[in-house]
Amino acid sequence: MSQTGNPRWLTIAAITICLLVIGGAAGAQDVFSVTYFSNNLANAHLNGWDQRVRIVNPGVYAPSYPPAEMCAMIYVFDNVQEMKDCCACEISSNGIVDLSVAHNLTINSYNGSKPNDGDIKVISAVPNGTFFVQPPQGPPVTSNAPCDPSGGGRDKNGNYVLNIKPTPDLRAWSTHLPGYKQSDGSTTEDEFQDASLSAAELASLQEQCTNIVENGSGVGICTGPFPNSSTVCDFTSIP
Amino acid sequence: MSRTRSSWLIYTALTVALVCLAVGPMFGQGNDVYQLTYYNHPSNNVGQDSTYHIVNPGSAVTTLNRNGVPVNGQLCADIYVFNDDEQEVACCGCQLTADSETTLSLEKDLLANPVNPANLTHTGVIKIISGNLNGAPCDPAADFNPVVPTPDLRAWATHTQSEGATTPETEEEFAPAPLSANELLFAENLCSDIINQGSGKGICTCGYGD
Repeated sequence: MSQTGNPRWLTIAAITICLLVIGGAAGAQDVFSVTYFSNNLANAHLNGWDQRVRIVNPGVYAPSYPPAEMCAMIYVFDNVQEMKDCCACEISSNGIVDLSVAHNLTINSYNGSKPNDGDIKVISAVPNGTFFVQPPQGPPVTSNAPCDPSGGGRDKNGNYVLNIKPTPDLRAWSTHLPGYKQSDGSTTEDEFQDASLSAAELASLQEQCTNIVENGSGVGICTGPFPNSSTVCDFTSIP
Repeated sequence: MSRTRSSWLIYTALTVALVCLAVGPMFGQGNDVYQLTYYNHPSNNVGQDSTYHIVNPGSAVTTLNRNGVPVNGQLCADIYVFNDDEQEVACCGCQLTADSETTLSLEKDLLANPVNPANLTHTGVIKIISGNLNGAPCDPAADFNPVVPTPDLRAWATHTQSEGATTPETEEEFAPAPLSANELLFAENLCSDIINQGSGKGICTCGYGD
């Protein structure tokens, strides 16, 4: 028997693969992070009370020189697990996007009701194409950013495309407005927390985003800010 | 090399590979079920509240309906509150649907109904175990069905700091920790004592959210 076909090598290879699998499973995926928001009252931003979400591309993803742009796929839920908004930003290497929960992420919610509490999910992904969703009637909803939180929407047969490719490793922070049912006047800040991204959850986020966009006639998509040299977002204009 | 020995090595390799595939994911999940924080309630009076936010990221979702909405993935936040003398003063189980967020108050939810007010202390520990639905819908005492730790709820806590005459507020994530079987059993047993012998005292409430 040749050396490469020797069962000893087969055993060694199996053990090596085993260690790699366990190591990979034990390590964080580093593509999915979450935070919450609270006390996002309907007039909070008018009173100067707001929560900020800041996302940075550390430049780790660099398939070639220079390090590449990445997409922050953003999904906003209220506290009864209904997706209210979705959007995405293309962030250049070393770039930062600075978002307002009140002004950008919840002001144009799908059902017109700004959520007071909820959670925000960010998937770190490679660019997956221009945001394009064709509503049942009217013109398509498109954007300039090559980041599509709906994962390509639906194909011509009505099936979800699901083309988001999670890729490490954007980093995000959020300020919060502490207080039980109403702000106590202080502001705190924390990192987003990593979580495991299941295949079902990844599909669900893309499908729910497609659903609210194709039926929203422009609502359900986050708004502003204007793009800068490091960031282009697929927001609609502020209503 | 004899055929028998070759066969044995091949079987060994296959066995290692199969065990590896079965056990690997458990390594990824095993310690992502238990987290804790402290509380500081300087005067035990109202007005120095802390808030807790728990999010179900949806990692346990396995099934969607035809329009992409999760139909499972609910988790229990099994909450155990201890005073600074290691006594469990309250416990409760809060269901969180996938993608949901729940807000709890130290004063209004976790310490509002201690098993014995005499045991309340200014500081203490709050533990959350991310678990399965094991009751109606959550039973942190595991009186009839075991708590099966299941990843992976995420939680944040504000803290009231004592800085002289002022009490500034800070915030931090709950700290993850490995969960031993004995620690789980201990928390469950103390909670069972509270539920079965506390006449309704010692059961905390789940705040608002879903």
